[in-house]
Order: sequence, then C-alpha cells, then structure tokens
Amino acid sequence: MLLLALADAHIPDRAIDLPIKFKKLLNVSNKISRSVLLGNCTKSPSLLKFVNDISPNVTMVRGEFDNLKFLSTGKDNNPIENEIPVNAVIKVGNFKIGCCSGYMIVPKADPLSLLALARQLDVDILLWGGTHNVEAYTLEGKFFVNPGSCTGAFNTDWPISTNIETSDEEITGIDKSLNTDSTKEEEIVKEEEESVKEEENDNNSKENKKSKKKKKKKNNNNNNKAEAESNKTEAVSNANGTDLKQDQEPESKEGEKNIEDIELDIDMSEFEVSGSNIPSFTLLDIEESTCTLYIYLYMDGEVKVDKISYTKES
Amino acid sequence: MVESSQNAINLIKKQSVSISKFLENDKLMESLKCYSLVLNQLRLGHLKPKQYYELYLAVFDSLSILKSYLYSNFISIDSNANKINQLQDLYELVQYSGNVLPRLYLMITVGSVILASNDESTPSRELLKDMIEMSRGIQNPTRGLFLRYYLSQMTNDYFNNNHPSTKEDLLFDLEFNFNNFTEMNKLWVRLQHQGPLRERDLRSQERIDLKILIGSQLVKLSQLIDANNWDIYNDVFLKNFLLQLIQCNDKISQEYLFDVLFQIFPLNFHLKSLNSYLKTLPDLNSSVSIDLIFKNLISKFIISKDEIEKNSLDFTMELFNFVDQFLSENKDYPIENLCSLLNSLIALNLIYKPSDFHIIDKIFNILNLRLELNPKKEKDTHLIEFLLCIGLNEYIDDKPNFYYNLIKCCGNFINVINILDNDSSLKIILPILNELCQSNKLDNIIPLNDSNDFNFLRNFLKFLNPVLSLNDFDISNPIIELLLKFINQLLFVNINIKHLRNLKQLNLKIEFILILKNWFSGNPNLIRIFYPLLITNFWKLIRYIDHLKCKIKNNENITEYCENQLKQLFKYISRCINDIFNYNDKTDIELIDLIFKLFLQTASISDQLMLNEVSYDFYSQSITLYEEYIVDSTPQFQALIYLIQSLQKTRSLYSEENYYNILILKCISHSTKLLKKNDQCRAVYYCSHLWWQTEISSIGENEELTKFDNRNGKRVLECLQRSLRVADSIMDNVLSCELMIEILNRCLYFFIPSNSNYDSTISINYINGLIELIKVNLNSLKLQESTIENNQFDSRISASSPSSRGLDIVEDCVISVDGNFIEYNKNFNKNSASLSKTNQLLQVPLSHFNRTCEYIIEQRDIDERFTMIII
Repeated sequence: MLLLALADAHIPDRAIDLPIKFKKLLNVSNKISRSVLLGNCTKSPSLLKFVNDISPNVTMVRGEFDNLKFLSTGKDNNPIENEIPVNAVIKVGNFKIGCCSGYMIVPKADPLSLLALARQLDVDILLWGGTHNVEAYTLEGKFFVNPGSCTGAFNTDWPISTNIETSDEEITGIDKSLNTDSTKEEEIVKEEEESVKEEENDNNSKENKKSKKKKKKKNNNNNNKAEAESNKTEAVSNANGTDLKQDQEPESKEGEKNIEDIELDIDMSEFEVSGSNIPSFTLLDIEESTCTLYIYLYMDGEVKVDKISYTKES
Repeated sequence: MVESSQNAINLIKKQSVSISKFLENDKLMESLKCYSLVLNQLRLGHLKPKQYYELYLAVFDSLSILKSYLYSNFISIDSNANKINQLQDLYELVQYSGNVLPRLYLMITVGSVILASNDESTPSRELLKDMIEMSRGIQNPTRGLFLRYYLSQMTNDYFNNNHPSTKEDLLFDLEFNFNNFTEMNKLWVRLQHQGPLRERDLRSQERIDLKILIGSQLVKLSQLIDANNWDIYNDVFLKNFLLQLIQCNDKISQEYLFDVLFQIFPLNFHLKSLNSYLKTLPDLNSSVSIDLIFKNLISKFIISKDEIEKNSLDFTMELFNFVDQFLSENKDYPIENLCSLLNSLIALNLIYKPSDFHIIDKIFNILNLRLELNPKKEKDTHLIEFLLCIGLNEYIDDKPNFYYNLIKCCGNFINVINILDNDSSLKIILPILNELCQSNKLDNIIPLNDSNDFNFLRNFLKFLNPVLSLNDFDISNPIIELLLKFINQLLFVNINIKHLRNLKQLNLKIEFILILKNWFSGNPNLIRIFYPLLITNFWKLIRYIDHLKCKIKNNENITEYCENQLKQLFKYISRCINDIFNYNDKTDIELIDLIFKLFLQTASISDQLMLNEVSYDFYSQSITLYEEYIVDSTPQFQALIYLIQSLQKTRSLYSEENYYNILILKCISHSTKLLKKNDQCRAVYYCSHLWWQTEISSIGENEELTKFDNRNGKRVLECLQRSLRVADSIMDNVLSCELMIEILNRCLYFFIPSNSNYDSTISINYINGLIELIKVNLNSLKLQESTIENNQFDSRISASSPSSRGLDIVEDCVISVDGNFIEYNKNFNKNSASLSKTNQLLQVPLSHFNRTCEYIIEQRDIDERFTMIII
C-alpha cells in the first residue's frame, strides 16, 4: 500500500501552495491509502482538504507552527477538538512507523537523537520533518526518512551556507557548490541508495554498525568535490571581483549618494535565502517487510523521482 | 372584431376571384367595382395592427391582380404612347371612386404601372408628386401609414430601376422618399395619442408592432444614398432627419429610428457625423433612453471594429466628452442609465484603446463625481451589477492583467468601491481577487523598479479597505484565503532576489513590505494573520543582505549600508511580533505560542549572522513571554524543549557578556519549575544538551575534526543526575521507571562519541548504576503486578541476545517524547488515564528497557566500551 508523507508546507505564512505538478501527481483516487503530515501543514484549509481528498486516513503530528489543538469532525459530523500529538505510530504491513515533526528533537535532526526516539517508539521506520531538506538513511537497521518541505518553504535553521569568517574566494566556492545543489542533492540520495543496498547485501553486522559514519564520509567527499570545482572557477570569480572594484571606485569618489545605484553583479540562489527551495515529498510503498521509498523533488519546473528500498530484518 | 376582420378577408378573397374572372374577359370596369368593395374593407375601424396588416396583405394580393393585368395589357406588349395615354386616363378615372381610401390605392396601383412604362414621355415626377400629395388625404394613422407603405412598395421598382443621373434627380428622389418617411412618422406618432389615456401602453405596443413600416421607408432612403456620398447624407438627409426626429418629440420614434439609422448607413457616415448625432441627443424627448441610443451607436462601432483605421480614433474621445458633458448637466440622471452609458464607453475603450487605462479612470471619475453627491453608502443594485460586470467583457482576453491595470491605474474605480456599503464592496472585491490569484504571469506584470511601481500596491490596498471592517476573519473565509494567497504571490514576486540589480531596488523591497505592514496594522485580526507573512519576507531580506555584505567587502559604503539595514530589519521584525502580541488577546495560547516561536526563530537567524546582541534580545523577549504568558503545562513543556533545541544550535552568544550562560541558566531554571514532575524530569535531561554542541555541517563543522567550544561533560552529567533525582521522586512507579529508561538512553547518547578531546561525560559506572536502579524498580513493578506472567517478565529483563526478541508479547503501546501514551494507528493520543489495562501500561517501560538493552548489545560489536555495560 502507498503511504504519503508530507512535511513543512508552511502555507500561508511562508509559501503559497504545493507545486501544481505535485498536486496533479497526487490527485489520483484510491491509490494512496493513508497520509502522514509531519508538522507545519495544518494552517491551510485548502491543503488539508487536498490531503483529505487523497485519503481520509490522515495522521498528523505537531510542528512548531501548528496549533496545539485541531478541529476535526467525528461521528455524526460533530466537531471534535483534539490535541495534535507530538508523536504518532502507525502500523503498515510488517512495519511500525513512527512520526515526529522534528521540533521536539534535541539536538535538532541529530541522527542519534532520532535513533533514541525510534527506540522509544519501538518503530522500524521513523518519519520526521522540520529541516525542509529531503533525507533518507538507515541507521542500526532502522530506516529514517525526512520528506523535506512539500512547498520548499523558508527555513530559519542554519542555511546550508552562511559566510562566517571566510574569505571571498571561499564564499565563491560555496556558491558554486550551491549552484549545483540540485545535482548534489541527487547525489546524496543516490549515495544513500547505494549504502542501503550495501547493507542489504552485506549481512555482516560489523559493517552495519558504521552506517552513520559512512554517510558522513560521503558527505565529506561531496564537499571535497565542491571545493575542487571552486578552485577551477576561482580565476573567473577573481575576474568578477576586479570588475566590481573598477565599477565602484569612480562611484565612491563621486559621493555616497549614489550607493543605491551601484550595479550589484551578484548571483544568489533562492536556496541560500530560504535554506531550501526544492519542494519535495515522499511516498512509501509498503508490502509486508519491504518498503520502497519514492522521493519526489520539484526542480526547474520538473518533478524528479528517486527510489530507495529498505527491507526489515526478520 | 376578429370575426369582422376575418369576414373582411374572406370577402376580399371572394371578390378577388371575381376580379380575376372579369379581367380575364377584359372587363376592367367591372373589376374596378369589385375593387371598391375590396378596398372599402381597409376602412374597418378598431383593428389591431396585426389584423390590419393581414387585411392589408389580402388587399395587396388582390391589387396585384390588377397590376399585372395592366402591366401585361398596357406595357409589356410594346410600349406606345397610346397605351400609356389610356393608362393615364385610367389614373384619372379611378379618382372618381366613391371613397377616398379605395381611390388612393387604385391611383397608386395604376400610377405604379405608368411609372414602370419607362417611357420618356411619361411625366414620372408629376405623377409621383401627385400621388404623394393625394396621400395626405388620409389622416387616420393606421390607414395612412399602410397607404404610404403601399406607396413606398409600389414605387420601389421605379427608384430601383431609374438611378438618378443628376444631383437634381437625386434630390427629387430623396425628397419624395423623405416626404413619405416624414409623413409616415407623423402618422405613427399620432397613433400614440389615439384612444383613451389608460390604453397608452397598449398603444405603445401597437406602435412597436408597426415599426417595420417606417423602418423600411428609412431603408429605402439609405439605398438612394451612395456610400461615398457623405455630403448628401449629412447636408440633405441627416439635417432633415434629425430635425424631424426632434420635432416629433416621441420616445419610441426617436429610439427606434436612431437604431435603424445606425444599422443601415455605412460606418464612415457615422464617424463623420458623430458630432451631429451627439448634439441631437440632449434635445430628444426627456423620456428617451439616451443610454440605449448610445449603446446602439457604440455597438455599431464595436461590430465594425475592423473597418476603423487606428489613426482615426478621435471619436472615442468625442463619445467620452459627450457622456461627461451630458452627465454634468443632468445630475439626476438615473444611476441605472448612467451605468449603462459608462458600460458602453468602457466597452468601446477596451476595444479601441485596450492599454489606455487613463480613459477608464476618467470614466470612473464620472461615476465617482456622481456618487459623491450622495452622502450615504451606496448599494444600488444596478451599480453593483455594473461594477461586477466590468471584467466580464468578452473583449478582455487576460482578465487578471485587466484587473491588475484597473487597480493600478484607476484610482477613481477604487474610490467608487470605497463609496459602496461594505457588503456590496466585498461582493465586488471577491471575484476580482479570485481573478488576480489565477494569474500565472504575475511575474511579468509586477516589476518593482522605482517608486512608481508602488502604484498598484497602494491602490490595491485602498481597494481592499472594506476588508478592514470585515466581521469574519477566519482563515477559511474565502476573502481572507484569497487575500493570503495573493499577498503571498505579491511578496514572492517582489521580494524575490532575482530582480535585484542595485541597492535602490533593495530599499524598494523593504518599503514594499512596510507599506503592507502599515495597511494591515489597521485591524488586529489582519495583524495576526498577515504579519507572520511579512516577517518571513523580512527574514529573506536579512539573509540576502548578509550575503551581500559578505560578498562585497571592498566597499565600505555597502558594508555600512548592509549593517544598518540589517539592524533596521530586525527592528521591524521585533515591531511586527510585538504588534501581533499587543493588538490581540493575550490569553489566546495559540497566539502566544506563535509569538514565542517567531521570537525564537528570529533569534536563530540573528545568531547565524553572528549578531549576538540582536540574538540575545530576541531570546530574552521569548523567555519573558514564556514567563508571563505561557501558563498551561503542555505548552510550557513544548516551549521549553523548543527553546533548548534552538539554544543548542547557537554559535554567537559566547562573547564576553556570556549571553549564552544567562539564557541557558534561565532555561534550566524554568525546566525545574515545571508543574508536573515528569515534564520537569524530561526538560532537565534535554537541558543536558545545552552543554554539548553538535556539528553544524553547513558551516564546516565536523563531529570528528572540529574543536567545539561548548562541550562540558561535567555539566551534562549534572543535568542527567538532577533529572534522575526527579524521576526517582515520582510516586507513579511505572512513570518513574520509564523516565529512568529515557535518562539511560540520554546517557548512551553522550556515551557514544568517544572523543578524547572532551572531558569524559558519562562513566561506565554511572550507566551500570542506572541500569541496576532500573532493574530494581522494574522488579518491584513485577511484584506489584502479580497478574503478569513471571516467566515472560524475567526473560525480558535478562535478555542478552537479539534472538530473545522472539519472546516479545504483544506490544501495542509506547510513550511519546512529551509523556503521552501512543496507541498504534490512532490519529490522536490520550493521557495514561484512558489506558484500560494495567499490564498494557506496564509494558511501556518493560519493552523500552528491553529495546535499550538490545541496542547496547548491538553496540558492543562497534565499540568495546559497551561490553563493560552490565545488563
């Protein structure tokens, strides 16, 4: 059966709506049998209606901007006011799936903290949100999935890049890595897919143990790649820098009044401002002890799909 | 009456048979006798127009027998003077007919045959003059009208076959037909005044039934005037036509004849003579619907769109000026008709000047001036209908764009909306807002380059003024939902950094948000709903400006600008959050919770920019709010955990002032003051993380390589011990046990990073002691609950290998991070009280401990230290 996981819509405070292509994709009747809202999805009546139309079986957990209480209709259409829970657990196939928004996880999005929670909730799969960036990995035989923000909403967490005590060149380096962010994101996903497969193939528990660290290393590799790229483009960025200088010098001689008119030759991706600009969600296809995770990313006006499989150890 | 008219028709038909027979035998005189009987039927009184028309048709058919007899016997054989003379004699002869009406019909019939002879000797003009003169003899309106219609029909062939060769000829032809037209119109008007006054409406209806007779005469006139001959049209025909129209001073006549005029004459005549038309309109009968005539005229212009050259569009202005002038002179002109006039003008301008919204604005100014005369709020249904239909014009292909321009350029339209009463204006706002939201091209139509680009925003907000006094501010109210969507779109497009070329544009963006803020400040509900949106956009700008500041380091002016601007933006945010607080209900926990989180998230953002003063300010505001307004235990607990989560990620607060210390001490102090001990216990163990920074990979930190400033194992341990004391002091032994297991799991969290750079946090001994304590407690639980099978219980505690999982009993309950019990597949959780079975409750700590033990065992493969943990 298909389980839809959505998180961090932040409609209307930070986003207008889901990408239309997502809506078209999800607007199929009787395919998705239940959905989970992993926080910050309850303030838009139209989104709730949309989710409810996909499947009336909706589980929600409270994100930091959800109300404490939620009005729903119970028997005889009487409105019932329920507290939105911080955690929820659902059973699908042979899986127990835990849900949390990530807003009560300390430290936020920390894999070991999430692991402790998965243990406390006694779940095989933990769905969480709050970071606005899609993520999926296995740790200690459990599967952790963050569907990202389904609208690509602004995030106040540390952005993927901020510029603290770094030189111009380094910043440009980070810039470049961000410009290729979409591909990076994909790489992560793919690498994780690989790691999952490795684990599947490798029954040796000694290999399993280091899964977290393995993931970290891969990220480091990624950073190295980005740095290498930045070195290549260094010459170009330097040239830009001098251009800027030349433009500015006469201006500043003329006086400060013209500061408003200085041409700003700066590219900045939406990603750097919002902390995320890639709307995403996940679908979990669960058959008995197998879970196939589909990650849907909305990039450059197109929907891209990635697939990861996870099998529960018997 | 029906009977008598039917009888008459029967009689006519019968006589026609006799006539045919007589004429077959060349008995012309006999047939004429029959005709006098036939034609006398037309003198029947009190017939309805329709009945008279039927009678007329019967007579017409009957007379055509005579006509074709005369034609074939006197003309078509071979036209010689002799025969024509005989016809002229016959023309004289029929005048001896006893009654005037039959006499005239016969005269016209014979006359028409003579005209058809096409002989040069024929005195056609004299004949025509004679016929039209004689027709004056009938002054009864219906009979006269039909007689002249007959004259018109009978002379039709003549005018068609004899095109005037000289201007004089043309003038004669025109005069004849115009004369007939004038007389017909006079008779038609006179028809109105026949009969009793109470039947006025009936008369009007009868007249409308007969309008085609006059109309056809007008069509004949139009056929005489060549499409190139505007001089004749204007100087000869139109002058007299308009004069006649004014003189007759009759509503039906004036409305109908203008309509026919517009339809039958070519477009260029109308364009050239427009001024004459417009001058005439005010002189028409006061009951005439000027707007209807105007609408018909404009319809002609609209239909003929393709014929009009683009460089000759002065007529649109001429039409506007007319309406403007007319309405300024007729201040009590009914609103309904006024709207109709304006509607026509708008339609015209949309077609000919689709991009000129200044003229549309002027049109609304007319309405505006009129409405201002009335001090009351307007709710005229015609007016509302008119305003609702503006965008429905079929010639608008891009409605969102139309409305966008309408709002941007037409301040007078907006004034009109504001003059309406609230319900009416909202009725108009809703569909427009809906259209605006439909636009996918907002990106293209809303650029923000200089302060002129605020025109739309300022007008839009003024347009929305009625929303300020809305009663229902629920987010599910369609108008609020649409407004949220549209404001969101506006902000998304305008605050988007893609459009940024220079700092001036950046200032404009800030101003854009401030204009919105200022407008929303007009209503506490709007403050609550919309300020979070504005805050998001301030956040975005902050991130952008910081980025700018870091990139352009070689220009002091820009650096200074950025620093000032950042400070300002944080102040705006603070203002916004405090306004949400000040203007709303302080007992509304959802609202207070929202404000608390806005403070915290802004604190995080400022911390990320290393603005420690700003960050401290926002953190302290959030804590103050917590202290004074978050009073219920559930929100208190969640708020504290969130505060801990936020503080744990800070990096800027470690300067000499040591803000971090001040804040976390407050945080711990509040954690220990929570009412429920289980909340206290959890909050305190979460506090342990406040002394244990973890990597933020996005700023280059790495768990293994980075030397973290804030990792203090001693403090972590203190927190955990404190938490354990609270857990131990809880009298509910199930809860107490569960909390101890949760603390054990925290201990394992801190135990894992075996990094020698930091003080050792949790010792093996400590963990072993804790496990021992938990076991003791679980055992006492076991003793207490004799209902639980001993075997199962023991095996769970002594579980030493993953294979013991097979012994699991059914677990259908766990505990969530906030201490609520979770039942699987229930969408909402409940407190422990609702759990019916005690053993179900007992399973929670038991199985949690079991899973923790399994985890420890698994870790032994990775980390040798775990082997020293005794379970």
